[in-house]
Amino acid sequence: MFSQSAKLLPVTRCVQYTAAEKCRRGCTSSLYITGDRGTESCIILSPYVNLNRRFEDTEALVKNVQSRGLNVDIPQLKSSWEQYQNLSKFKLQLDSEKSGSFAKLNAAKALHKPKVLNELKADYNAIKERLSSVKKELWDVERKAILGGLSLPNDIHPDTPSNNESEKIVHEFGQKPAVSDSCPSHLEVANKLGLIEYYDSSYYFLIDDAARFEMGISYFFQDKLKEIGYITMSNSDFGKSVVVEGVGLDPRDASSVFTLERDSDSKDPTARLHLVGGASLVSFSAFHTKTATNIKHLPLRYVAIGRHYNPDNNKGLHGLFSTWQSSAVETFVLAADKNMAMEEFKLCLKEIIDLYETLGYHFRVEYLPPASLKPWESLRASIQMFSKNMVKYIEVGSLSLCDDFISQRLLMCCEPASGKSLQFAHVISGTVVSVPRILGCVLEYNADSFELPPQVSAAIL
Amino acid sequence: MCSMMKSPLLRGVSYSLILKLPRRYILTKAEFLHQEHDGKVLKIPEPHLDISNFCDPSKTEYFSSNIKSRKGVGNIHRIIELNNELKVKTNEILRRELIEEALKIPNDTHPVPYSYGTNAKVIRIIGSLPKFNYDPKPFDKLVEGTNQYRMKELTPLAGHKSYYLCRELADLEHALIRYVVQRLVNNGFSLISVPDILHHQIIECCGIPTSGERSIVYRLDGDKHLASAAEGELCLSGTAEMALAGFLMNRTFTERDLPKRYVAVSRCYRAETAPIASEKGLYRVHQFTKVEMFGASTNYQSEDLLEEFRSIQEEIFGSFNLHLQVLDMPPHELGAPAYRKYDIEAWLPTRQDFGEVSSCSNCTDYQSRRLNIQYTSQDPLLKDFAHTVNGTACAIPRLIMAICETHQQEDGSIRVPPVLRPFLSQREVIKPGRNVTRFTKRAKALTDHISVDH
Repeated sequence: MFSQSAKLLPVTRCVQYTAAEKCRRGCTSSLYITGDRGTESCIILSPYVNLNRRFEDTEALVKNVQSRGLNVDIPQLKSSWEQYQNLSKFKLQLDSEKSGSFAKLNAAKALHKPKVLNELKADYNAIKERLSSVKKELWDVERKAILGGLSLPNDIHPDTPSNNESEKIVHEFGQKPAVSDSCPSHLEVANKLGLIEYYDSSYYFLIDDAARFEMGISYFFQDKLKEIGYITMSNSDFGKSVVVEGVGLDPRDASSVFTLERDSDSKDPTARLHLVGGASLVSFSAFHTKTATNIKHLPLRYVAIGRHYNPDNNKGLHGLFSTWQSSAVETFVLAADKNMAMEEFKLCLKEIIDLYETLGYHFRVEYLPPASLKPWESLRASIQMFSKNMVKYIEVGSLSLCDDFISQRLLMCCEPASGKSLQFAHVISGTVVSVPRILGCVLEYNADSFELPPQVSAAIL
Repeated sequence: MCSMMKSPLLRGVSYSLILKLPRRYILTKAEFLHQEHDGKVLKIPEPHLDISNFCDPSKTEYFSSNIKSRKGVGNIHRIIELNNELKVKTNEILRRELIEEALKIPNDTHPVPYSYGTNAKVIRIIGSLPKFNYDPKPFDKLVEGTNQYRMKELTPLAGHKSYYLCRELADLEHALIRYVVQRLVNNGFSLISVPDILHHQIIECCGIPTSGERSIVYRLDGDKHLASAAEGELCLSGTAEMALAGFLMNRTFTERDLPKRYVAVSRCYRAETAPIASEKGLYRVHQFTKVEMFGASTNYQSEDLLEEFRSIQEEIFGSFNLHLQVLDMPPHELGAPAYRKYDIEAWLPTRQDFGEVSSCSNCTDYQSRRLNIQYTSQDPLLKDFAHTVNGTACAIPRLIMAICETHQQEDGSIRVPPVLRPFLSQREVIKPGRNVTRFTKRAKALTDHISVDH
């Protein structure tokens, strides 16, 4: 399928887990520091984990996990969770017994009755011993229950089609380009026009009009969203493991996220620094971790231009469709509750669709089935353009409903009217446009020339 | 495909370990890759160093004193010694040591700054001292706690010294980028979009060490992300200069096409620390956006190109109505690659001092000899090494600091320089806004008051 002249060489590759991490896989977390690791790791936050709600409909949960192709033993997790709750209760009871016994012991000391004192001492020590054995047991169960709970994916939204349904296209614009026998790939076109210098997914340059397209289309989307009230941001490119795991990625997995060389000063092996890029969900999430926003300021709608770094961008894709580094326009919306979130999702998707329509290229919007959802998504609208060379649709942007999945883990809260307790905010996240991908599709539409759409050139002049 | 490449590479690695030699440049002639594949291959060239020049007896004294005035790295006598030994017999180990030693020799120094000793020379003052009839606030005080900026409490979440520019300050960043890029593109610069993750040898070819205690280059975890070509490691680019130099690697220009001018907007990553209190806050950060100018020229054009870059910089920064001074840097401030370097410093009112906002350097053939960038004159068989010139057109954080401090008003608002207003919907003043999102350090303060609505 991919043309001969664009044959590529993987100059770079990644290993998924190091040997040491494979051994620890599933037993450690950067997000939740289990009791036994409390001394070696600095606790930044404790994610909110309450599985009672998740187990209300165990059958649906099993179906959810299966349809996403994940491997979680739900019945086992359920029993661990119950055991964990019972043990926690038991530990609390022992704690209070211990303090009661300690008080009695002190009282007896004051009365100088050696016999009673000895009995009480023995009593106290017995409680202490039981407590310490319960603690150890609790850590063990905690690891299974909480870490297992954190590995559960988000619920699935009713609008998400099932895996075996046909494609759920919710919007389509323009005519699908006609495909002839030999449509050159975007790299062939770009080489011919002198627009790209491409070595592999990790190393490529855009030249002149291609670079102007990158800049122009980013500013086109950002400016238009800013005009309708989106808050512009220039985000941090780094994120720590706690936030990476907080959004639902595995910080130890080299195919999910870039990890920087370990800082020799840092003692904690689970708190690493990752290169994610400012136009990423992780970067926005770090900004809102452990925060409370008054409900009257919601929804907060953000847009950021920046880099997006992703080591695993090449599931059967090539060239500009598989780059490690992309320029992107990313959006992030914080809503107060489920209803507001759904409203915002629809509104934001409509605004993005309007902008794509002004560009004039053929595109479609598909709601993806569970097998294609990320763990934090309950619904994902995928904006797709057609690659003439690959004869298939390529995702150039997306918008996802994340409910309160991320906010529970990273404590993004909202305050209702005064006096009422806090709630978890609901998150909508999306890549409005991934520049290399849209550029790839556009290059393939016309093999002989490349012209900037007027809206795009207007955005940089 | 990986396994095909792996075996000869591994052989090379172990060979270098057996010889206990520095591992640079041993596997660089990746020609076997080229024969097997017709695709583009990242091929880092063997450095072309002018050994006979280093060994010219009439120049020994000059090289020694040049090395001494430029921080003292490099040993010219050892080079002569090795070269003499190699004349008697060929020996691969000695040859490599010779290359290693020759790579350490800094570039020549322009005769004018060579005469400065250790002091930089102020060659131009632009604008005048800003006057305030109240106590001006430092940048951090102006913006911290507003909804336009956040740096506090981010270390455990986004890493040391990370920061977010929001709303009007983010718009100011984009206005600066758009204004500067537009200006340069109109001046005939070619816009290039560059990668931020680079093979470590490309960075080293630019004259910047990627390992050792004083290295400011971030590296990706080598256990997880491997560069399988040569024994490469992946690093984060500290400036688009590195990627643009890599872009020109192994390229041969024709004389009439030179000089070439390029501009790139990129994220820059630097692992440097700031031990000085005055460099806290946004002044020295680990990541920022920068617009970089880069030029390739013939050996007789580079001095003019450097002057051209400097005058572009002076015009750009001057158009923001900042008080600036232009310095011609003395030999010990040049680093290894530069032949001559100008720094432009902007006045920061609250520090009562100038702070560097940009620099430009002529690296002559230092980088092109390492990256094999050449040009042919009329006779296509006669090749010469191109000269490279680089300069910062706009480094966001420091420029934003200088603009905000210089143009602040008593109520804490900031006047936008007129040239930037077209890129900010004609906004004249940036007013501080109240933050609506509250960060809570103690997570329990949040979790204790949560009610989850089902």
